[in-house]
Amino acid sequence: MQADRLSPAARRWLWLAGVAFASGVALVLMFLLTLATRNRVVSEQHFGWLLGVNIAVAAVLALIVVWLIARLVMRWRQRRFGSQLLSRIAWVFVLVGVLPGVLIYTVSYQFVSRSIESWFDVRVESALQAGLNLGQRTIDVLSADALVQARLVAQGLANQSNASVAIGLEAVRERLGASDVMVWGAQGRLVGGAGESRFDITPQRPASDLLRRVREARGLVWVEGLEEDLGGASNASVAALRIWVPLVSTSIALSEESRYLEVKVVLPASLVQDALAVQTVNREYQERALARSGLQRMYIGTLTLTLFLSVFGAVLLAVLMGNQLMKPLLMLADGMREVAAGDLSPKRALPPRDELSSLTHTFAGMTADLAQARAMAQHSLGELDAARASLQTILDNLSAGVLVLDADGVVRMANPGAERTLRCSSVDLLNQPLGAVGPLQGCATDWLDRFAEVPSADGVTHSHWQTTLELGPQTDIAGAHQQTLLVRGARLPDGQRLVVLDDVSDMVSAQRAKAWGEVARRLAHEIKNPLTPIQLSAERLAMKLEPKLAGPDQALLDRSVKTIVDQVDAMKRLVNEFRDYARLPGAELQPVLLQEVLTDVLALYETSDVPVRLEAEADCPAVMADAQQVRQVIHNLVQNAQDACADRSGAMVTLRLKRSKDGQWVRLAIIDEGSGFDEAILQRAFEPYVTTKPKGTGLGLAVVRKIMDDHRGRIDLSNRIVDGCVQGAQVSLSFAVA
Amino acid sequence: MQVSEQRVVRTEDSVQVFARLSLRLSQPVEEALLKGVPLFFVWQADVVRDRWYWRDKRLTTQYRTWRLAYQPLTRRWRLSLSHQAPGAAQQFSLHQNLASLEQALAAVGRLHRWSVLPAERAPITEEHRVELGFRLDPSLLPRPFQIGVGSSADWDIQWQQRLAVPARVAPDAQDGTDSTDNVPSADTGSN
Repeated sequence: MQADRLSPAARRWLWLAGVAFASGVALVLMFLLTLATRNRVVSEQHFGWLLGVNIAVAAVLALIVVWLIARLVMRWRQRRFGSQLLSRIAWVFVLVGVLPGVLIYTVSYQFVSRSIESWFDVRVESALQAGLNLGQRTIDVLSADALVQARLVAQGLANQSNASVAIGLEAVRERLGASDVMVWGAQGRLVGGAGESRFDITPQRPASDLLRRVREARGLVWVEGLEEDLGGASNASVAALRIWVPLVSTSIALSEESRYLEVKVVLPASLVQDALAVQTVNREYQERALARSGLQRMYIGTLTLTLFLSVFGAVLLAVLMGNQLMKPLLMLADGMREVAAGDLSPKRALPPRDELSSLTHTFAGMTADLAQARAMAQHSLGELDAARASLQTILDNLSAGVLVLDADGVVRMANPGAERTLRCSSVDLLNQPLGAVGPLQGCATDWLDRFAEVPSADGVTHSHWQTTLELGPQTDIAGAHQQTLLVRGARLPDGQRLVVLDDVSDMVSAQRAKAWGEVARRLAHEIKNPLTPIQLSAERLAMKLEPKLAGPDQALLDRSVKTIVDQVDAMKRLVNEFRDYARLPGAELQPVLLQEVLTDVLALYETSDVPVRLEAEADCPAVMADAQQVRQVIHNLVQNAQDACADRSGAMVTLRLKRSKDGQWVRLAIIDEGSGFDEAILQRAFEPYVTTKPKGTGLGLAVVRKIMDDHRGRIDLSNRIVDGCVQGAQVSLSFAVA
Repeated sequence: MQVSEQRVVRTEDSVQVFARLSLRLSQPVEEALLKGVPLFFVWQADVVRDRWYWRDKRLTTQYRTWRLAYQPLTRRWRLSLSHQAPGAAQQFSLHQNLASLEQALAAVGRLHRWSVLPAERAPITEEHRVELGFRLDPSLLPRPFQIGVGSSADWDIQWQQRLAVPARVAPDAQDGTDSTDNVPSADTGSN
């Protein structure tokens, strides 16, 4: 359950450490077990092997511990979050684990070395040795005594015959206190016997080698059966002295055959027992004394190994458990670092096992909330941006100029419409006081005063003011540069002020044209009426008075009448033009071939001073037009062109007729080689009463414009510019194809 | 340790090993002996067949363990023999009491007509080898004793030899006259 919560790496390490620790402990336990039970299966070689494995495990543990500590130190140096706490926890665990271990080790060490030493005592050893010697001496004395007795007996028996020897043996046996007495012949032949061995069916024959040695030494004695019981060895026979003595006969008759006396004297059981006990104890004592250093080494080695294993295990566990404890904290630290860096991605959380783990839970929840809040903020920010962008687009494409002023009257915002209307670049506008903006120098104070008058009521949108502004030089007769602006001001919510500039020049111009039309119509009507009587009266005066006068008077009369008639004609023409402008009949559109109209008109100009040339494209389609009005337009334009070319010798007027590329329009261009249009005139050429000619009425182009508007055609006015110099003017008329 | 004889004789019905080692014990070992610690000498003979493709095949393993102990009471040297594998349950038989250490060591170091493989068990050919080893076996020593002994050079007595099995010889062609095992005449000695 717990292992599932760990990361794979941590789980692996835990496994590894656990296995290493467990195997180390198991080995030590096994080792101790073998010591305790003295199990023969695990012999000395295995002990060496065990020792090696233990040392290897300890080394591995040591390596792991060193590695862990090195890692901890590195993390400490890097000032990684959590390393200090981890070190502290590890320290505590290490102290808890190691201190008791060291204490126990020290005590055990002392105990083992002292107690093993205390087993051995010089006095005990010498006492054992003395006991052994005592046994040896006793047996030696008994042996020597028995040998002497046997020799004495042998001397008595030596001169007796075999038969008498056999008879007297029982007495000998009793005298010697022996259990068996036998006499052997030279070839191992039993001469006679007394005692238990009499009942042996096959008494053991002496070897010839033994007999030879007995003869040479004149008697042998040894102890038999004085052995410790070896497992399985049949040693049931009682310990006894066995004495061999040669029967050396002094008589000649018996000397041919050498005989031997064998005596077996059973040693006292208590003596044998004690001697054997002393021997056994002595041997064991000696064994232990010899093995003393080995034992000591073994115990202490085992203790030390155990200490190492437990210490390393404790340190390992300490670091691992510390890691485990630190895990939620480290996770929190990582998460906080990420959040600080702006990463609000979902954070890992441990299952709420304890307070620290539930802290990670809380933190993860917090981060999620934060992420949601930020997402919402970004979303609304995006919406705001979009709204602002659309507003900006609207402002940019608004023909009206919009200025936003702050409370001090400094321009904070201006749209392209404002730049266009005021003919300033944005640099001249933005962050400039209103009074410093070129065209507005005069009226800035006035506007700001108007803002001050407007009460800043809650209904800010309703509190506004409105005025008009005339811009441009007032001196121009035609008002060519003059702009009429409709200015509206309003307060914005945060103390800013909004100024909207509408260029109403075109509207004013249209109104002016309409007014002119009305004036012209009335004037024409009123003026035309008295003109005919004036002319008729003048002509009548001339007719009546001419015959009566002569000389200078007649010349004066002629001149005056001519002047009157000419002026009346001029006035009539003026009035007609006014009327034409004002009372142009509605165009009756019919398919008309422009070539024919042009040919008709140009026939009138064949003899004029300035030549007129026609360049007509072949098969131009018919256009929707009123032929009568078109004639008048062409007359007007050709006359204008000729007037422009009048003071230039060799200049000519060209009429060019061609079809537009898409085939929807037919374009007629009237091109002259005169001085071209003035820039100011180009702007307002189509307004009535705007003219460059000293004698012009200023109505010609206005009429043309009106006719073309009625035809739903277009009229364009431009200068022909070749190599940067004005080479003449061009008027283009576009008619819709029928 | 000097080896004066080592050979294998193959007869009609058995394979016999002859060997003679002149043992010399180091001072600490002899002291331990004199203090009554019994020592165990193990002869081990393995009959193996060479296999180039695998580990050698072990046909049989025979042991001959001598137990040598000093009896301080009688000042005599006691030898016991066992044919079982060395171990705690070993049973010793054929005891001899000898007067001197030299005699005992000579008896221990001598192998005479040790039949290492009964012929009926498997046919033995020249392919086989006899691995003959002799060692002082510390694993039979008293337990605490082994710790110090294991690493000491004084106690390291071992010898090993690989002997070829010769061609079969007639039983009467072999040397040695006595047909019994090579036990020296028992229970003899002198004061």
